[in-house]
Amino acid sequence: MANQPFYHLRPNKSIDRNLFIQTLIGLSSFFPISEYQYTGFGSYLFDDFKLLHDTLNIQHMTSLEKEPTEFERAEFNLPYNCIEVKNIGSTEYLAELYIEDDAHNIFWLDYVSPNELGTQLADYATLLNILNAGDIVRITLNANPASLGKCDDPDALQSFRLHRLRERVPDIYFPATASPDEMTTQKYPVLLLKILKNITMQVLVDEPPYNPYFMMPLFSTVYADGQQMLTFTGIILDSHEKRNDIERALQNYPHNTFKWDTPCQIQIPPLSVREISEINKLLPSENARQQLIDKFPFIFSEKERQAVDSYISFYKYYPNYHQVSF
Amino acid sequence: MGATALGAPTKEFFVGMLTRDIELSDAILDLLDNCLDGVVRQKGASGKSTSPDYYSEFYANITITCNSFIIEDNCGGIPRDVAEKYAFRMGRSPEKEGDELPTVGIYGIGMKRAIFKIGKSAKVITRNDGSLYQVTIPANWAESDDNWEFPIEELASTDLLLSGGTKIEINDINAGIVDLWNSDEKIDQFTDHMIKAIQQSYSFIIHKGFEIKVNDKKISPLPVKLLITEKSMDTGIKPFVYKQTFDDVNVSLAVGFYAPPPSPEDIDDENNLKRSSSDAGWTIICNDRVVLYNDKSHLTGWGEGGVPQYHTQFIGIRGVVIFESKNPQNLPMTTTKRGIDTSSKIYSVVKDKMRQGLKLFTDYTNRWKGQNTEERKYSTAAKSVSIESIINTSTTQNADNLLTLRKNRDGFMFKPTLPKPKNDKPYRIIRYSKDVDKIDELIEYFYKDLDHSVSPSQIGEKCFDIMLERARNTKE
Repeated sequence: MANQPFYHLRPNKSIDRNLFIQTLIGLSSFFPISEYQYTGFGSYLFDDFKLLHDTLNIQHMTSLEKEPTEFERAEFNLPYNCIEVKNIGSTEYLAELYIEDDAHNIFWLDYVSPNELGTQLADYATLLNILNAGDIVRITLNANPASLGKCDDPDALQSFRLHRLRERVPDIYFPATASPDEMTTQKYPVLLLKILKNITMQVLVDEPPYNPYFMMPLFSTVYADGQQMLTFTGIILDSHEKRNDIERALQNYPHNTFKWDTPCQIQIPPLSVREISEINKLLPSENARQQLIDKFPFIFSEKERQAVDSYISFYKYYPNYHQVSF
Repeated sequence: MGATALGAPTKEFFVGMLTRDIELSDAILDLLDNCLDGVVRQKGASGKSTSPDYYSEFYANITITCNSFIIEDNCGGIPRDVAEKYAFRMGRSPEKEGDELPTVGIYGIGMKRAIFKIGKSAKVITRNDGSLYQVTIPANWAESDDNWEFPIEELASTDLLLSGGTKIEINDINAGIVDLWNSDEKIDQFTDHMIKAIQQSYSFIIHKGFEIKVNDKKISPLPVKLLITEKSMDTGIKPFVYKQTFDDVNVSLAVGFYAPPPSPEDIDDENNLKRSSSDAGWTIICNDRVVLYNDKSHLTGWGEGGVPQYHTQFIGIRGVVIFESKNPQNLPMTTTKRGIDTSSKIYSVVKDKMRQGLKLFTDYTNRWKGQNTEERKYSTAAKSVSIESIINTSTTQNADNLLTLRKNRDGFMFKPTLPKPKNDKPYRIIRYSKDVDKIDELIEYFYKDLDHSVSPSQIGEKCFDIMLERARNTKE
């Protein structure tokens, strides 16, 4: 986390974070979100923590920091009094965590390293095992297929990556039909989502009356501010009746697809302040896409539709960075 | 009236089907299950799960010779009407109502299956409520397909089975089994094998007072114990405990260390077959009967839901789950009573807790890897406590209680806080192998004595320390 320079300047991640906030705002009509306990990896900048406190008034927050030096730095940088930093890794923290029956939690397992996928998935499973109905889970994984390693023969690259992935993911979670052509930049995040789905279904079995817990997927995002990342967000429920309420509550936030396999791509272009203000004057509009491509050919093109679509979907959340003098 | 086609089974087919898929020792265990169910029928359900001597004064004696198999018990015998209507029928009759007792027999095939697995003829003598009678399975019974009945005859009151019980004597031993029993040595070997099987399945029952002898050898229970650090203030080794009631099924679960996590030498020994990990894993008990013994597979949560697969380094971890119900069909066991019914909804909840508990101890093992000496300070300070007393921990707050269970969802849970290494820097294991002569050379060099008691890994560590010091000195 901390070895990623200018963590806070990553515009795509910042949009993903904003989408999460929008979802929580939507959910707050049904769930007492401001009373939830938030646990995440705040590093030393605490962007997510700040946002959750500022917008939703979440008051109980815990940040996990494994490295002792990073821990000290995190303590130094604490933005609010309601955040507690713990010098502990997520695996250890989750194994010992005891959650009271009436407690509500939001967890964001915001992982970075691709090499520890096995442990990350195990932590996710451990977490699902102990959460209550109404709890919200978010997990970020490295979704860059190149992180699975290089291979000398370009024609064998996908197979090589698939083999590598198989080594990192326990057999029982690995989709039986996974094939090398899913190891492309485009499809790898979807394969990771399948793996997450398998783990989830195995732990949360949806078998009332004794074990009624299941996961309702809310949304997933794929974005790259460097390495391609995948973030899945879902809510644990114990009754299917709540599903409809949630879908209704979130109907004005279309990034919530309630599906496992339809991540939204966040791929906004880097823009100057002037560009932003000129582009935004055209938004929202029915035929915005064509207008943007026509008027800003030096930014958008027919060929790279993702960028223009992303911008139209997420322009409201485009972060602004300014120079500040103290 | 139209012609009909004959659909009745042949006895040969029936007997063949019945006995093919059961191991001989399992068939004998089925007979012992009947003895235990007899005790439950005699005593009723009260106090079964809690009373530490529920089965005392009851026994079953098994005698195996080269031409007969006898099992005799004092567990109450078969009521006459049960013998006439149900006990000798192939399969449980639907008319027989559930008797609402925590027994293990459900399907009504155990005795018949065991008899035909072992031999062709049998005498079942039973005394119930004072009356003594005998049911005979004649040697030629399977030869004709139309007569499915067995003769019952009253016996003059002898001193046989005075306190009520059953004696089954099986003769005309089947060919495959004769081969196992046709010499004293073979019988000894079989008896030994049988005693082990009984110990695995019945230790809880023997512990609660039941006496089983095989060829006059009394079987002692294998204790199941877990480590507990008794000083309640310190963090120490404690088990994870969980209890929940699902309608009429009571579940108690405990998992922890029964032995300290292994040192690198222990793991080497295990891999070289010098030591075995047969005590590790999960044991599952349904109505006192072990249905799964020291399992280390995904059946009991290993390798799933965030728990690593079983590996020698987890040799010290053991868990027990006890299911108890007066409706045995609600228990998560298979028809053979020697397996878990993984489709059980109750089991799926319990398995979540099993994984949750297991994970604490696999994590602990991983966390302390390479810091064995430091770790042992905790695990050797802990005492072995029997699983019964761990599981009987009350669910109410108690000051001198080492394990205080807390309400969790619909059950109660104790989640221990296990000790953590002080050093934040993770340790890494360096492993290499060198031939014995070269290691001896170093022993001689360091200690001037070839017989000095030192392990190869200690020599390795010494070499590392020396090199490290040299490297540091060179830097300065």
